[in-house]
Amino acid sequence: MNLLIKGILAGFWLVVVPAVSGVPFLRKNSRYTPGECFLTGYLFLFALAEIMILITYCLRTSLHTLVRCYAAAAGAAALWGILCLKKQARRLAADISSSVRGASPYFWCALILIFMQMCILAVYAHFDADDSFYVATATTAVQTDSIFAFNPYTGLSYRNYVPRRYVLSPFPIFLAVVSQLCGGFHPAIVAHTIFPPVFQMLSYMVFYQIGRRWYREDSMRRGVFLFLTAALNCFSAYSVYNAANFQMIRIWQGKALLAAAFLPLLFFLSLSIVMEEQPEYPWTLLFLANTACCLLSSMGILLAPLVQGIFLLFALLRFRSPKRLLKGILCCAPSLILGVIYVFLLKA
Amino acid sequence: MKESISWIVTNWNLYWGDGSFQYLLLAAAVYLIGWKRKKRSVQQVLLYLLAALFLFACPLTAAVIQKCIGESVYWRILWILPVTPVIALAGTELSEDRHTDFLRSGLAVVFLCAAVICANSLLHSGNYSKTANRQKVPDEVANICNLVQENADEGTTIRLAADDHIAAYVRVYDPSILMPYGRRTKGSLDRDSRLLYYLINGDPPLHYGLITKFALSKRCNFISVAIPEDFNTGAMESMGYTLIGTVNQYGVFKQIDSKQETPGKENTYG
Repeated sequence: MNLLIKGILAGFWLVVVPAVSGVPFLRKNSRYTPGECFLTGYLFLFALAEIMILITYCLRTSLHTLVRCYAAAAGAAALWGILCLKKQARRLAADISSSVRGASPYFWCALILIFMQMCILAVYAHFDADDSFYVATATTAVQTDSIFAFNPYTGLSYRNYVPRRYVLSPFPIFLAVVSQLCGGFHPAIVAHTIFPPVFQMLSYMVFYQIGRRWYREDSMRRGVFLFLTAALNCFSAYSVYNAANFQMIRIWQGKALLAAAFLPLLFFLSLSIVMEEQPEYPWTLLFLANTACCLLSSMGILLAPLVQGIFLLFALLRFRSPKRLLKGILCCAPSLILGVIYVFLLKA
Repeated sequence: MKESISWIVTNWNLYWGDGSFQYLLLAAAVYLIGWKRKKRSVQQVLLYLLAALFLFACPLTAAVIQKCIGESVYWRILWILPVTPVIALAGTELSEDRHTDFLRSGLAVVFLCAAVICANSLLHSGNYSKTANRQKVPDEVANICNLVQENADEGTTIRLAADDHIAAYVRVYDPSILMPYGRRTKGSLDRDSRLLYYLINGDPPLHYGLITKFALSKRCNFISVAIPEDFNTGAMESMGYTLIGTVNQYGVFKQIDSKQETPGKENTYG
């Protein structure tokens, strides 16, 4: 298939579908923004992918079956989102145009810097030997039309072995699904050229939301905040372990995306939902965020409830509401369930 | 207890490396506590920061978390610290917006220059390089895989033995190529595979005779191994492998089976 068509398909599945499929979750908010829709869309799609991949793995179905199921579910959600969006389209367009007009010069400088980062990530390569598992799992899945049936290191069958560290956090399979949805793009091209700019944008949208929360009425400071986050990230090469470094050099890997975008997103959602008397977003988003973290990395299964747990503890001290605590624990359910399964697999 | 604390400190130092971001974070926290502590948003973020640091540094919680995620990656707990948002928050609070329009425009120009400098510093950090292949794996890996595919007999399964540098990316580039082991022997099924790995990754001079012996036992029809410039192919040929090309310092060898006596065409990449 033509490279241009594949590129358009990638834009559709990685930008358009997330942007509209997030709308139904925010439709009760009176003034949601496109950025919020995009982030919510990714929360939903990642949570959907986690559940679908685990089910299809347990049923031992093929990759193409998973691709069809995911495409149908994500497509249906996007369609529903468009229907919800219809009522708000004019308001959103007006909001965007007023935001553009009211944006500070610092915000435009930040955008230039972020755009340069996205270009660097899309054009240049970073070699990371961890790809020998993460990306090779996707290439192997595509090659064999299977899910975790073959060892990505060798190409030999797993037979009865379960790759327990990875099977509960199957982000490489999500990569394989996206590569198939993009007209059969090579998974390594999707991982190294398409994912990085998209996820970089996603990551900065999270930082923008954090800035927006802290400086709701002050566009000037929002711009400064976004610029500072982007500038600080440029100097993250002081060690190979910090979250910003993962964001700048290998954001296509699930654990990097977790550290760069989803833990900060969880931090933001916890502030906006758990720590607010009147939550700014539905609790469902916190549940979706927890599930999305589980998809990205086995580390997410532990780190997500840690972040949520800290805020739940603060909220308990502040509001003394057992109902809020219960809701919070329910939002951590995916991590707790998968954690138990992980321990069970470890012992088995 | 002492051991546990020293291990926590080691992980802390590992995370921050040779940078000074930990001091920047400390300075930001001190500034926020000192001057902006009455703001609710600041209180929340500082309390969270403190709690996250406690989880990391307390030997009891550290022991529990370490049991769950593994000792070697304990530093990943520090990912829950909102380092960039806290420093950026302090920086933003510091920048008062009571400027004249002229000053504001001047500052915007300064920010724009800073953006270019930042991007330039990022580009020259040594983390990025250009590749000739779209998959963005090291070019020598792509060239070795292409060379192997060009010389493979139709319908036969390709099994390639290569050193760690090449093996890590072969199946990222071309998943139709099978391997007896992956990165750091991962995925190897038996002792022979691991022995082959250690032989092929050994210090020069490599024992090419043994490499071919174990490659044969693992039914590898291709071997990619580092060879010296004046390499004598005799040892490999006597074991049934012929040189089909070189890619940088790597020689790519193909097994000559009984049906195909003539070696494949010579190719040199890189």
